[in-house]
Amino acid sequence: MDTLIKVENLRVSYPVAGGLFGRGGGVVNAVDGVSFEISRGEIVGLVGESGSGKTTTGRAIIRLAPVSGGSIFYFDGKNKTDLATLSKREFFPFRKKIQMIFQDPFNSLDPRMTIFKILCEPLDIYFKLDKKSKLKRAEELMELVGLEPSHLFRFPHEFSGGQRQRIGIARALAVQPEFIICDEPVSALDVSVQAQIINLISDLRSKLNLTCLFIAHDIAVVEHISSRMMVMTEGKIVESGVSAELCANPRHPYTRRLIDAVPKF
Amino acid sequence: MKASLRAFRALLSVVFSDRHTGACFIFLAILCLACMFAEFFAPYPFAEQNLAIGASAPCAEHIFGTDILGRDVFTRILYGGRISFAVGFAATAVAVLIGACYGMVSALSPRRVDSAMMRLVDIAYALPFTILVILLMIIFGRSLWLIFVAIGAVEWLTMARIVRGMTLDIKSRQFVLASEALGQGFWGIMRLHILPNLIGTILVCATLTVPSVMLLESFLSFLGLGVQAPLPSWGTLVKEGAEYMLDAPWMLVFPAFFFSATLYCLNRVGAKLSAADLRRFSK
Repeated sequence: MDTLIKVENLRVSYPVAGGLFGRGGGVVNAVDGVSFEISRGEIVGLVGESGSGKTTTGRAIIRLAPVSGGSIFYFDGKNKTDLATLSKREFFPFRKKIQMIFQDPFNSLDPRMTIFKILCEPLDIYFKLDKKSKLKRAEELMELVGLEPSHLFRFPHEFSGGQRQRIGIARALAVQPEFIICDEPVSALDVSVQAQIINLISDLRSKLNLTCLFIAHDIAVVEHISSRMMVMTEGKIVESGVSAELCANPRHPYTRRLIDAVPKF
Repeated sequence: MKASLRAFRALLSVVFSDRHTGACFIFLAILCLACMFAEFFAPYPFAEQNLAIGASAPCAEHIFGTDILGRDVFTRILYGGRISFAVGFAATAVAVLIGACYGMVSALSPRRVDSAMMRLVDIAYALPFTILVILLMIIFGRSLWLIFVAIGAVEWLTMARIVRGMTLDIKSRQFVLASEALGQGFWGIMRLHILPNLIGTILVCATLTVPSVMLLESFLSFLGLGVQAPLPSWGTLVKEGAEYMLDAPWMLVFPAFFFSATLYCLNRVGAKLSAADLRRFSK
């Protein structure tokens, strides 16, 4: 298959504060030698409990967390770029290709901006559009994520959690990315809304030919949406494989514990 | 600009959401205007003496009476209010400018720079500032500008702490991360996300700083370090009144009433705003 992103031996470590001026502490390896590959058009799940390093892995790919070691190769046609070595300015063009959907829909939208302004922020950075075409593009995005275009001039607090998450998705899609990192996009939502958002992401993937890294702590959610999944604990990937097989036949005891943690009715 | 306008309108709607605070605000607005245009409202010039009548009790010509030099107390309250309000607002503006910038820079700096900057604030807090201001007055002489600057320089510390805390909080929110992920630069994030979210807090802080600045000014004037005679300020009026309070109580009662009423109203409005704003931020 056509590989889009290949992570090799990725490490993210944070210094632990100690002493009077923050010196003399050790380091914590939030991500400790993680390697995986994602093919174009695929949804890969990344599961683990909180503190396992899955969010940090996602953030490291998009440069919201500092990479301390390893490489992140991004394949663009015949070109292969190691994102981990790029400077901030060199990374800028990749911001348009890689986007992120955030966990907390109540925290990820600026409360003082209207939805139109929120959607204009990415448009202003990458496309020089006049006001009319911006409005048109914003309306398209609203329709794409299943929201009423006439609600563009409302503020985030006027929407429900699920609707806000849709706005977050629209914002990420505004720059027409190839690769989307979904960082626990449904864990802050009601169960009834979770399914809608998951279906939306999976529809959008096939419609726009997106590639996704889907991060979640709920293994049942990941099994439903992704073709392959990886299980992560304490900064390491302990098991990976085709979702259905992995869930039917977990080998690592940690995976088994995650599966047992899914409530059954 | 638009964001600050919206914030201002939101603040007004909060102020008028209960009658008591609304009345306070209207009282302040009227008093402020009357002081600003004292020439039109005051029946006499503020330095006009009438030694023949001396300190006379309130009557039809002098509704709040006159002081020992026969100057109209009502007139002097208006002119004194002008100085007190001017010091209050100007020194607050100085404090807000220094404090907000310092707090924001501190919050956005690397950790070590940040803690060094905040330790500096801690040290400045520990200095006996009244004495420092008095020393400044003695060294540089008594000028109105120096009062603005000196009081502003004292009051910015609290502002710096509050703004730093708020900036740290906003910086860690996911919408700032999202903006960064979209490729927004440092100044873009400042302009679009951090400043608009700070404005409410800064306005609230400023309304609470004004009364404390006015109190500080009157305190300095009371000690004889404030504005120069014959220019009145509420502090000097209260001081003069206190000297003759047994013989001419009106000289103390009226300025003191206006001064305390103003402080009360300012604090009331500020408290109301800060309570409302806290609710909005915790939502």
